[in-house]
Parts: sequence; structure tokens; C-alpha cells
Amino acid sequence: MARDTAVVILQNGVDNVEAIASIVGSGAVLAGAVYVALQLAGPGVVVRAGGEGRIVFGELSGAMTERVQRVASALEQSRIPHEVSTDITRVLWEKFLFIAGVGGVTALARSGIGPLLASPESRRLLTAACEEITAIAPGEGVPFPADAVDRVIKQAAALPPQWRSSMARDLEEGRQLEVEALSGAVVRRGLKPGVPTPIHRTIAACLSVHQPSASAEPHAPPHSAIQV
Amino acid sequence: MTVEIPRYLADPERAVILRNGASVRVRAIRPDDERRLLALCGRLSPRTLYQRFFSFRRLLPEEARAFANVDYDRRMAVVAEVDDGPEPELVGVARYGPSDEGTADIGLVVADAWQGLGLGSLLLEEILHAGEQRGSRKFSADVLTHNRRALGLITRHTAITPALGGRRRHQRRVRSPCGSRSRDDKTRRLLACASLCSDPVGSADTTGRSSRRADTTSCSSREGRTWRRCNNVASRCATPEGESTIPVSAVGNTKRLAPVDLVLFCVKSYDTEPAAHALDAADGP
Repeated sequence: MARDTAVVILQNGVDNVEAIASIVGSGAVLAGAVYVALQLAGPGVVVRAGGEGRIVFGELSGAMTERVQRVASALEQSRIPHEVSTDITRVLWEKFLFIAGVGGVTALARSGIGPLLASPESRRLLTAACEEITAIAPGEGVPFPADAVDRVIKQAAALPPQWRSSMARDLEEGRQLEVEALSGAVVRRGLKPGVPTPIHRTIAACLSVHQPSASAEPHAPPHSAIQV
Repeated sequence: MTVEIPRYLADPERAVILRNGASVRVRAIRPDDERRLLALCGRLSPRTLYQRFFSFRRLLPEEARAFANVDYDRRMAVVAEVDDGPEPELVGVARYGPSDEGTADIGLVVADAWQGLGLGSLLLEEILHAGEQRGSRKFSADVLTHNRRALGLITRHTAITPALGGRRRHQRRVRSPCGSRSRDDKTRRLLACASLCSDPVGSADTTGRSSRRADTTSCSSREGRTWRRCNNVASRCATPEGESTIPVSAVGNTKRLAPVDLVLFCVKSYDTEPAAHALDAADGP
């Protein structure tokens, strides 16, 4: 890697930035999130459902550095919708709240979001899964506003009833799951401050038994990519 | 003979003392503010520039001319001016113009050194008042979601009507700074790259990179992967707008990649570590 190579990390989860920084150097990394619904429909075929998508990224420090401007300028020249955030850690956590909280439950329940919201019991489960995340967030220096969970549930209600997370689709199709980086991360983060996370512990445990081993199926079917 | 009275004179100039004791003049914009607008824009920090225009690009002279020449009715602007230097300079501007939705769309900026003194509040009040005097009742503004100072300002001064679909309309609206709806190959290239980077079985550490040319993207997978893996590079992209084929080049070994400026790291989380090591091993200059 060149000395001035900028690495913009566009993955789901809240652990990746630190992990990559420890390998390539913290000076190289910027964090970001992608909002787009993509799926690999077959070898070499990408299907995008919904809108064009958008990248939100920024320096971890929040500074509008010259490097941020260069990346923004490259994206602008390529006409890729993007936004620079001066609070990118919060952006990552906001996305995490949705995909780990709501997305995790759609995978556990093997259900689209519509039926989950329609049943009072499963609606409570969705809310509680999100609340576990907002409970650990202050310890990470990213406190959520009091109405954050309500807003996420409203956001979920605006989705098509059949919507489910990419992890739910991966589960249905027997592919490897990102559960360690989602519910697993919630559980790990709850341990130190002693925040109970029974729902994410359940999601992580139940989905772990569905993780295919990497060697079992070397040519597994292509799977979905980044999700909203 | 009739002499046309410049319309900016209809709004009287007034002096205001700010929190730091400094005096600024607040008045309607004038055509001769063109070069002052350019100077103000040239002095803005990248952060302030981005928060105002959603881009790091500086104002062009023709844009400054258009901004300085308003009709004082459907398009209006007020400026804050100081006499600190050899000649008066602008330290803040607020404006509105017609939006597609029939609102008066507000833009506001305060020079970095003059932020936090109540000037934004003052200019917002002035422009809202000017709009109301001219019959506007609904105002809108595009504000970046993380521009808390601006959001706080708007919250304090207006009744906010949230918009549907994650955007905020009327007094507060959030939109992507890059409003482009273009769906050209460049966009798709990046999306294709992101897709490739999520590897199906978790054993290939693929990274997506854009090379020294901003509009090109290449993808790589770890040495030793089969052709099947390389062949798995997205080559067709189906979107709601249609289908296209995207040229994506893949390499079997990151060490053979030319030095790159920018890496978009898009693998699934379970592939993070091997992908980061492959990236670290890529050759430097």
C-alpha cells in the first residue's frame, strides 16, 4: 500500500474500522456507510433493487481534511451520490442500530418486516432488540436520542412488508452470516459495562448453528452484498 | 424622465452589535456585492463551504453574479457586512429563492471567524422576515444531517415539518449533497465493485479499489483463487432503470496492483482481516 493510500471502509458493523486500522495503519483509514440494496443474482450479475444508493463517509476525527475533499471530489466527478459526515461514528452506529436491531430479528424470525410489526409480540421483540443497542451505545461514546428506537421502528414500517435483511436472505440461502459482526458485537459490547443483551445473545446463538463452514461448499452460490 | 429607484433600497440598512461587541451592517444584497461574495466564498473553510454548498468547489464568477443579482421579490438575499479591512467585506449571507415545491428555499452561510456570535440567527430572522413581507409562508432548506449547528438554528426559529421517506421537508430538509441522478457506468462500476467485494464463501479477501483515475475501478482477489472466483466479478448490472454491462478488471494477486490513491473496502465483516492483510501487502510506490 502506498504511504498516502486512503482506505474508505464501507462495511456493516462497528468493529471493522479498528480491525483494519490495526493492520494497515490508523492514518490510512476513513469510515463510511453505503445505503443501497444489491444482490448477486448469479456469477457476474448484480441486481440493484430500489434507489441508486449513496455513500456517506468521513474522517474519524470529523475533520474536513484535504483527503476527504479529494475523495469527495473523485466521487463527485464519477457522479456517485455521496455525503461527507463530520460525525461518521454516529452514522455507523445509526446504520448498525437498524441492521443489527431490525435486521437481526428478521433473520431470527425468518420473516419479512410486515408480519413482525403486525404482531404485538414480535413488535416488542424488534423494539427490545433495538433498545439493547441504544443501551450499549453511550458506553461507546455515541449516545442515541431518546426517540431513536421509535424512529427506527417507523423507518422499518415504511419498508415493503416483505423486506428482510441481507443476513435473513443469506440464512435462507445457506450462505455465511455476518451475525458475529452484528448481534455478536452487541453481546461483546454489553459484557464490559454489564448491559444485559439477552435478545442479541439469542440471535447470535441461534444463527451461529446455521453458519456453513467455509470449506464445506467452495462454490456456494453468490450472495447478497451490501444492504440498506 | 423617471429615475428607477434600486429595489434594494426598499429594505433599510441597519447596524447590529454582536455578542463579541463587533458591529455589522445588515442590508439587502446589491449587484456590486458580486466580488464580495467571491471573496467571502474564497475565505470559507472547507467545512463551512461544504455545509453551505454540499461541495468543496468554490463559487464561480458567473454564479456570484447570479447570487448578487436578485429580483428582491421571488429571489431575495440579505448580507452582513463589516469594515474590518481596507474596504467593506461580507461575513454572512442569507437568501431564498423559489423551490420546485412552491416554498421559499433558504441558503445561509456565516464566515468561519464570525460563527457562534448569533449572526446566523440574525440573518435567518432577517431572511424569514423579508420572505414573509413578500408573501412567503412556507420556507425550506437543505441541511446536512450532521450539521447540528444549522439544525439547532432552524429548530429554534421555525416550526419544523418533517418530510416523508427520511427527508425533512419545509423548514428542514435533508438531501444528498450530490443531487446527481445520473446512472452512468461510473456509478455502476463502483456498485459492481462493492458487490464483488462481498465474497460468497469468505475465503477470498477481495478489495475494491479505484485507481489514480477517479472514474475507474478495479477489483482483486487473493492469489490462488480459481478462475471461477475471478470470473465471479460483476460484469452485468441490473437496476430498476435497465441493465448494463460494466467493465471490471480483476487481478489474482494484490501485490501486482499499481499503487492506488483510494481503496473502497467493501467485504463482508467475516472477511475483514484477510482482506486487510492482502491490502497491506499491496505494493507501495
